[in-house]
Amino acid sequence: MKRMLVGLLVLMLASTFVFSGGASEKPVTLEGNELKIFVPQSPGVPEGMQTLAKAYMEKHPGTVITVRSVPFNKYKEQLTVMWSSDKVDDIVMFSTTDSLTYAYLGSLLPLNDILPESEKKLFIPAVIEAATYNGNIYSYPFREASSAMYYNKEFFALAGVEPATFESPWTWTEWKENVGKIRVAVEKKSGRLPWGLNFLSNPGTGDFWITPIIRSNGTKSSNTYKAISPDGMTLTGYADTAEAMEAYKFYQDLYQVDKFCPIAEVPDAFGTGQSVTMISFLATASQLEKNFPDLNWGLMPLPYFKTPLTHTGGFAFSVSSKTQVPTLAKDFVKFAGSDEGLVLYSNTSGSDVVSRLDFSDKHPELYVKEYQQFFLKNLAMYGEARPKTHGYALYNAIIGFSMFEDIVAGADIEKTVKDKIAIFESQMKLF
Amino acid sequence: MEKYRLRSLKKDRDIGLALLLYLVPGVVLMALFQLLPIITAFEYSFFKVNLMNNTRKFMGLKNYATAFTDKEFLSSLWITVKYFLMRVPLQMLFGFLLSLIIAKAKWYTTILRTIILVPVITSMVVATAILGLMFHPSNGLVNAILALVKIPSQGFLTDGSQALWTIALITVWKNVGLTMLFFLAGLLSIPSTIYEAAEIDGVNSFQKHWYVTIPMLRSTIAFIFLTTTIHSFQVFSPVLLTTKGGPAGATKVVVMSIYENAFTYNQIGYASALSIILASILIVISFIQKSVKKHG
Repeated sequence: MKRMLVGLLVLMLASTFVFSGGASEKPVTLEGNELKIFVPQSPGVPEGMQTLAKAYMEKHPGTVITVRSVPFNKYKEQLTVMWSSDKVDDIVMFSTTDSLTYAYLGSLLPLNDILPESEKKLFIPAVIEAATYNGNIYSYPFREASSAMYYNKEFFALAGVEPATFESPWTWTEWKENVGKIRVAVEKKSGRLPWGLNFLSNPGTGDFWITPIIRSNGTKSSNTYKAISPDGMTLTGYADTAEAMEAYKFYQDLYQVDKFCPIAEVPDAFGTGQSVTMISFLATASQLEKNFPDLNWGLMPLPYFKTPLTHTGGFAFSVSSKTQVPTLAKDFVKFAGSDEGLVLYSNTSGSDVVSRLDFSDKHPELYVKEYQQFFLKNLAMYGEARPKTHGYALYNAIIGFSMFEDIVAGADIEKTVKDKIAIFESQMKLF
Repeated sequence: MEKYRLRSLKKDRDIGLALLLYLVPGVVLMALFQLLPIITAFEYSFFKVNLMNNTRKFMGLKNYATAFTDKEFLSSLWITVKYFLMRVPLQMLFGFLLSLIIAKAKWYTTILRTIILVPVITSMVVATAILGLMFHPSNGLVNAILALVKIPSQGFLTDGSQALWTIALITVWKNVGLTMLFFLAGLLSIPSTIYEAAEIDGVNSFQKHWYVTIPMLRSTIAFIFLTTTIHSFQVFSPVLLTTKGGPAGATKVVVMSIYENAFTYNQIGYASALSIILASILIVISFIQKSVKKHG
């Protein structure tokens, strides 16, 4: 009796292992009509995508599109986990600079058929270059980003400080001096010392936001400015120059010595008047208008040490290589990145700088606001592509996030930079 | 009561079927979510695996050899040991003391037991989110209370020397209720006659617990020590939800290192090897504990 029971249990276990491999995927002869889109919760993105999905479904009855999103700082982990399985979201959205890594790893479908050579000239050349790997394009350009400095006009006026302009941007030394004065003036009036600077997410980390501060301490031809070797594999001699170390120290002191920046998250610090300045991008402007209509704010270019710059590279659409509906997915991507799609998106999420070269000229009605004009000019005057490497996702994780997290926490700069560079370079060899 | 003996299958078929049906869900779930992942991880540990394009390359024992020279992994092991040394004594001590309070039926026993058990049933995500806000270095409740007694603001989760302690305190707060229950079960199984005999011998309260309670709870203590040790080495969610291994790697425990290798560096094979090493360490600890218990 017992032997029979044990035997039956073992048989069950064995069956579980045999059948748990999942149904084998048969080749799909006819595509389905369901599309899944996965986007990060960046300001305006989920809402904009819902609008595009609705418009596409109206044009193509019978198509069902679902859009899901997760917080931005969880997005990349979710992408990796999702692509490791066989049930993937068909369309994903991430920074154009990340597409090289994912293309290299085999996660993306080439999009040459929906973005042929003849159409590539409609987009910013640097964006096309960033999305191309081994001659194939893997991301359909959509939104372009650049960062700038938001400032509280009321606080500036209180201290009698005039903001920087495009023609006369501040150096970081000037910024620190002026914002220091403003903080004192605000504390004198309100009894509360505001932060000098905050970011969309605090403490400020990420290659897009922070590396421009470091790179600006080099002249345009210097290794500090270049930030990475031409083959995208080496950071030694680029991210650890004397100029870079000086800039890291300046950034660390903002947290540890001068206490200008919050070391832990302070939600809506700028919107609620807890911070004098904030580094962010265009999408934040419409959020401020919507959520903090009484706040009197302005924009100025990012401060710099020797060479002013701001990082570019916004969101683009890609199609998962494991998608079951490649034709449908590519058709949607083409629609979303078209003139019509961009107008629909802008009307929901607020106008943003886009990768299509002539879009703002064709649709001036979408760029009537002062802040939209500011960012168009900001991109044109100071926009610089991010460090190019097929391991960009790895570079951003190790250098952009992990290294800067340790630096703001007060770690020994020389050791931290050396260790993180070593990790990046050894991981790139394993890639 | 007479002991029931299973007779032949023909006569006990319905009992046999009932046994099987009760066991099937548990066995299937265990196989799918425990055994299968362990076997898969063991298999992956010998390969360099790219799940995104379903490719793999045989590495033999190279992943294991790399682990023993990987400074980041070895450092994370050491940090995990430090966390274990912080958490286990605190959790066991507080659990024991709370069980002594709860063991006596007083008017406040039920209320106190409920308050102590609420953290146990609270989701770790919710608990960590709220406690993380309470420990905020500039706007947190804890620093506000410290300011009332003129103590300067502390960094807690943002200070390299305090972050691991703070996480240990969060996990002790979350789990002490369960430890208390285990100790309580042990306490209630101690015959009262032994305490009566001790009182006749003239022992005081401390001596009663030192010479009677603790020796009688040896098995319970061994069990709690083992389970808390295993949980300490597996700590992950409070670290991921608060410090993500920072500040400056101060809380980068071994599971965080495994996670980073798997999902940041996309080195699934290597991460699997690290997982197997961790599991082996825990198995060795279990054997040592069993051996110590056996030899008294």
